[in-house]
Amino acid sequence: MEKSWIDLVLEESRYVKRIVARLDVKSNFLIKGVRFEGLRKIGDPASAALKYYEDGIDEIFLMDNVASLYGRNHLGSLLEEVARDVFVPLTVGGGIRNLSDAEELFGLGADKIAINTASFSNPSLITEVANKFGSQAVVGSVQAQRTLGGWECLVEQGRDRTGVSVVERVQQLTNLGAGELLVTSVDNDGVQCGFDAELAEVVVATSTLPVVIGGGCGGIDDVLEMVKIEKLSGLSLASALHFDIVNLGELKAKMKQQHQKPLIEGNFA
Amino acid sequence: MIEDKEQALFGLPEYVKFCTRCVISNQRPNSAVEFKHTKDSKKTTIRFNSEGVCDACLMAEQKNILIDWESREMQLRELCDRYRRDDGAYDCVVPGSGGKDSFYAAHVLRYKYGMNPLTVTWAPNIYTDVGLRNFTHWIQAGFDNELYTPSGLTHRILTRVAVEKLFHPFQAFMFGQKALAPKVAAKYDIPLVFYGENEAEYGNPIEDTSSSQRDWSFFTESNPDDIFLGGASLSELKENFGISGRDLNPYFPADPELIHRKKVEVHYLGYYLKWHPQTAYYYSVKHGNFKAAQERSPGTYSKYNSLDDKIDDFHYYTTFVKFGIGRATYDAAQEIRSGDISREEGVALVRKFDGEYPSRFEKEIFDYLTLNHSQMKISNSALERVVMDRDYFEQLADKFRSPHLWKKVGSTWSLRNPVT
Amino acid sequence: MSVVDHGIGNIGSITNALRVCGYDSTLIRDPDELNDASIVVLPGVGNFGGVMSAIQGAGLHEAIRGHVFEDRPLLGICVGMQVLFQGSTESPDSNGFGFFSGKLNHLSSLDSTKVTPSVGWKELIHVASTDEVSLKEAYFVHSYFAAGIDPADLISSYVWEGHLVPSHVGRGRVQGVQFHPEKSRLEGLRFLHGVLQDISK
Repeated sequence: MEKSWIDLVLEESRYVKRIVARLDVKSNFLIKGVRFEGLRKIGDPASAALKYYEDGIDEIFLMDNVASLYGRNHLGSLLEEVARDVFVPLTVGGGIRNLSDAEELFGLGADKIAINTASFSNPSLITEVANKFGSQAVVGSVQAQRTLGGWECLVEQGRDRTGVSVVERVQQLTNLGAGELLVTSVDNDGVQCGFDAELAEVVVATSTLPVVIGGGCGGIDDVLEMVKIEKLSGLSLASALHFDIVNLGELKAKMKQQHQKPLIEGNFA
Repeated sequence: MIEDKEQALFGLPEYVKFCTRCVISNQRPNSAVEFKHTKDSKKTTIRFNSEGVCDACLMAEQKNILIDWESREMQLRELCDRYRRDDGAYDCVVPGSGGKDSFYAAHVLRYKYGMNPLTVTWAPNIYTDVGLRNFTHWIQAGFDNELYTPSGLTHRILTRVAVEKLFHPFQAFMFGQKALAPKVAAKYDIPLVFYGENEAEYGNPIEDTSSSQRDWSFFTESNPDDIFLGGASLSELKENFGISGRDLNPYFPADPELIHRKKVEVHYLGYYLKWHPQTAYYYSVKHGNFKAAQERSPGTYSKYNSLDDKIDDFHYYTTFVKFGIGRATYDAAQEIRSGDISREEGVALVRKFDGEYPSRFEKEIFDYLTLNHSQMKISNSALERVVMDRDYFEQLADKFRSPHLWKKVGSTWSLRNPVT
Repeated sequence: MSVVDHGIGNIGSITNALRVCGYDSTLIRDPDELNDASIVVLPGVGNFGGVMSAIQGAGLHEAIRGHVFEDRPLLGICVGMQVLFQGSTESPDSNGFGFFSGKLNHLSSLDSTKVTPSVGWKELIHVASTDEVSLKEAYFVHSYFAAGIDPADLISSYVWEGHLVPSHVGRGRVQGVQFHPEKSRLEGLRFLHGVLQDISK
């Protein structure tokens, strides 16, 4: 049966997932660890963000790695700098404790803010921010570590366990008003062994929100594998970008190619 | 500021000072010769230079600036060339537990320098899950391993005695760790032992690092009457704890005559290769699927240091009590020296995590320290209490809290001089 | 170039984008400042009711209406576009400006089994072919869409889960875009520049 052009466009979009660059930042250095440990300084975050933007990244996620140690997010000036030259959505996370933290970051250029640790001790934080700025501006961030029978949520950059299962947490975050979920696999983080597809399947099955999965990308093929998960909204890449393992232009071309339908030009209603 | 001059226990420096570069304080004791350690021992502590910089930081500076690592590596190659065996016999002994550092050492010796190492492990008091897993992966990465597990009875008794007399639960373990490799080397006629890092990297006198070889006094001793284990003399151990000479064999250091005769040389790999614990972590993840712990260790922020033994938690807690230096301080100091974190961050980490009471294995450790096994022969007067519990542990702790470090505010102890 | 600063959302990103387009923005916080405004950009994120109350709270409601009735250019972005309609089921007690007929409904009313909000890069489908550079894809993040609009107002749509949803509307010198041109890369910036030029002719 011939497909209508709407169907074609729709199918096309299913195979093209958002690619998000995750930049972990500490004291103005771009850093990266393995399984959220052994953090190494690897470069300048502002120039990395700019590079990824120029290479065609869809979104950028700036994560303040020492925020919860100092009690606040320090990415303000980096954010301002990046926002001047980078015209794709910017998400900022790390140490966001209250509404005024969020407000400050929105004012400096954040489009979305990501919350993890603080919302365990203060669940109404997500709701407050969502009420004022819209749920689409609030990303529920989850650090998922494998445990017997599933995954457990960690907080404080993978340092502390919460005893809360990821499935339970996904439901909580949805109810609290988050507009999007970013779920990072602690076990695969920085290991470049492939994404945790099982985790992704479970999260998209449990949630009605858009889901971005991260942790473990070791190459374009890893992304193409995940693209098959229809309901998945996006993929987060860190090491794969920082260490030049994935070429963004090539990745985007292959994503479109994979479903083997030409891009539709000039449509009419 | 201390109004009256408070007494400093253990011969520690009376005034507390912090290194201007890292977060270690002048209270940090240098590695002791453990089998001479009694409750009256006076500590020698880390030195600070006239600018207030500690020996370990100065050592790190040398590592980065002065030392010609290329030539050091050449020396390593020459050493390996001299000792390498291609006939299937072991040519060197690498002690370790399968943690990131021993993984790196064994792997690089085998796969880069073509040696045929025998890895040697002195068992932990109580295996952690992650420690056992990493130990297994280490062996699976391609190394023969000899595991020595001392009698559980003796080990528990010595550990408890050390807690009572020295507040040092790790001591019994340390005996084995220090003495085993040379003894195994002598037993099998393997003339070369490679330890990882030199203790001076962490604060022992900097002169110690000028030699690639380990100081013999650390692991050899000629006269058994001069030996104290757990701070108790051999006769006390026999009379009060039913431990005889033959039980103590595994804890005795090597006979220097034997070492000399077999021409066993003990070297620090850290002398030849620039040691960076984080790099060892990355290396062991990549080559051996090393896994850090699932959560940070109590008293620190890190997940990849000293993961093997459940008693580690208490070891660091006791150093916090005795010297005001906990696990976070050790971890942060090392990361500051490697340039991985700033001093400011180190201070924040220490203030946040140092001295956290280790609840996670508390029950298991207290059961371990309770000397109630039917085969134990403890005399009635030996211990104030057979059962170890939180109350008794805190009572003991208080005996080791030096007044120049601690003050009591209400019912809580707090450090007079936390790090700044 | 005037940008309405009602306090909700990331005004920085729109002023940055306008700067690149060659416009030096004045931030408008009270009605007097709007008198001299040549072009007005109305950004907005969050929810319909929140943005409308902020506008009213700042006393800008009448000034904006006045600006439009005097046939002066206005571009609404995201929720800034949504408030140009009559109202939204998101905030039943709030009225929009009503420059365009139609009301905002939640996307789930089209299909409740699909993920909302609609987030990401979507291909635009233009009503009429134009010689100008038309934007191929743009970044969207929204949960409400304009329903019951006058077809003459529709400039482009996109496909959300098999349904056509308005992405760009316009009538006279008033236009609105559901997507974020300031977040849609250089192409988005070029589009923004083009639209602003169009409406100020």
